[in-house]
Amino acid sequence: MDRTELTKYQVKLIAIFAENKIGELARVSGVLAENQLNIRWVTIASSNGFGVVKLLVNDPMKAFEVLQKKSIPVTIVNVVAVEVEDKPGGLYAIAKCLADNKVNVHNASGYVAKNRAILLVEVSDFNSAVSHLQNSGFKVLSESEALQV
Amino acid sequence: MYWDKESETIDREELEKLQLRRLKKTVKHVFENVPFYQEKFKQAGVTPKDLRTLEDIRRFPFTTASDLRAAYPDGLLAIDKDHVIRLHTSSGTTGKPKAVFFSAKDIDNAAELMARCLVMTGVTKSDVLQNMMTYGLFTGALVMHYGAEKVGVLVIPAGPGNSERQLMLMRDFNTTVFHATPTYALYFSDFLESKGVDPRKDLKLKKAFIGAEPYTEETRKKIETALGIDVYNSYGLSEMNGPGVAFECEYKNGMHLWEDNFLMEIINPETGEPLPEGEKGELVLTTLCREAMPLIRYRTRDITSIITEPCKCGRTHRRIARITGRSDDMLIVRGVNIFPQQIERVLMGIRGVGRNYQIILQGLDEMTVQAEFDPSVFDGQVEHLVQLQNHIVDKLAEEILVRPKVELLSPGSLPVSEGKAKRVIDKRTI
Repeated sequence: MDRTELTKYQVKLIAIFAENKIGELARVSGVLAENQLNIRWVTIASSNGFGVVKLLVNDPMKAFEVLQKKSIPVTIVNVVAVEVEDKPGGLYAIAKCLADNKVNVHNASGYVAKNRAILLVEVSDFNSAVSHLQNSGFKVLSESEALQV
Repeated sequence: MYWDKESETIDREELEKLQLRRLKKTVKHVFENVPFYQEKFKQAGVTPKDLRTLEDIRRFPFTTASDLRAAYPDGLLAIDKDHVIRLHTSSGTTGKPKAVFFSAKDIDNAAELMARCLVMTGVTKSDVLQNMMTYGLFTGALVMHYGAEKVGVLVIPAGPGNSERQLMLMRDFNTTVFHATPTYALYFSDFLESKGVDPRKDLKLKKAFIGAEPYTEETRKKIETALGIDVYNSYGLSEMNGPGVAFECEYKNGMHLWEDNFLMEIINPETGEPLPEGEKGELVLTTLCREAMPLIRYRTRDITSIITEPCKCGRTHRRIARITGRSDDMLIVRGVNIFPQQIERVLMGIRGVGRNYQIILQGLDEMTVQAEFDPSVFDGQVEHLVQLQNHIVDKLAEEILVRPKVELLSPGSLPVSEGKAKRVIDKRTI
């Protein structure tokens, strides 16, 4: 599979820098709401007085633009969305596949929607992760599939 | 009680005559002996002959802290080195300090003024003074020491720190008075509490002289209540004599500045123009009796105002109000002099730091540096931001010797005022 094929699997998360203070999350989500952007999924990592909020939204590029216009520090992080089998060891199988193939996982978080468990993984080598997961028989979702779940 | 009643209660008119005589002598002395002042006067187009009234001093140029640094080591010395008996320096941590020289008469004068200060708070030769200031290049301890000896007080040259030993000395030698910074006095009262010592019952303390760092009326009250003593505010600076330039009397309401030794002006720090009596501005001092290193119109950078009404104590030397800030930016944090420019230099040298920053001082002596980060380095990884944050803390600690707390902020989140940004917010409670 060539690179252009792989780009369709790049699920774009909007990553926002937020100070740990009252109203920060309200401000960010307010901007998105005003622009009719729907948040499908959110994760927050915080440390030492600040945090990074990562959002899966229905239109990531638009979200990026409107946030940037508001001078909110924002960037796009590409993640792999992979479906996890709903049984013990489901997550283990994915983690082992990536580890066996020397793909480092920076961050991972999951969500369950419509009875499907989806894992979003930030990896050191996107292309390698997608290929190895697919070769091992995992269902890797394209961006549009991930947004439809 | 007076140490030198005649000088301390001198008639205002007489005092002004004395000031003018001494001012003329001082101006002539520096003009004849200090090339720095010859040049400065020439540039300002003045000579000692232009000084006919006290107000004429306004025509003369200022001397600044940077002039003193530029003149380091001895560019402002006005007498032969053989007649100099003491060197003190300011506590600069980087760059050159300010060197200040004293002749034997200068030391005696400083001690004399200190003696006036002590006696006006009620100190007598029966008192025992524990001097908890740093002995050394810093003027704080030694000038107090000499003044107290003049009064006949038993002086315990304890120096700062080592609270266990301070307590032992206080108990064993019945200390009645101590001299310390506000930070140490507060620390020491906490220490006594932790040891279960009730200073009212277990110690003989009556008063404390607190200075060398600006502090508030609330801090005075706190120390007084904790220790059951009277706290007197002390003002001085190493460029002058050190402590004893101005001091509170028994009424503890503003500090009498010894006007027979110093000519004071209050100026607008922005324009350098004199302000009407009673208005708040920068204190400018001219030495009137100094031999070794007289200073003309020295900008102290301390913000205060002159209290105009006469004091009930009968002294005619006018009082200055508690120092409320400094006109320049130097910060003293945990006893270390820090310039915001040092912090700026460090921040601006780190990739990932944005343009704006702010320094917040709060609590007793806690420093927080808020830095906006550069959004172009933001990759969504919280770990990378933590690394940046730790890196900033390390680099700052290397430069300023104090380990501040660092907060990363979104670009544009700090207020940008017109022109110069407000870099320092001092909310310290001392």
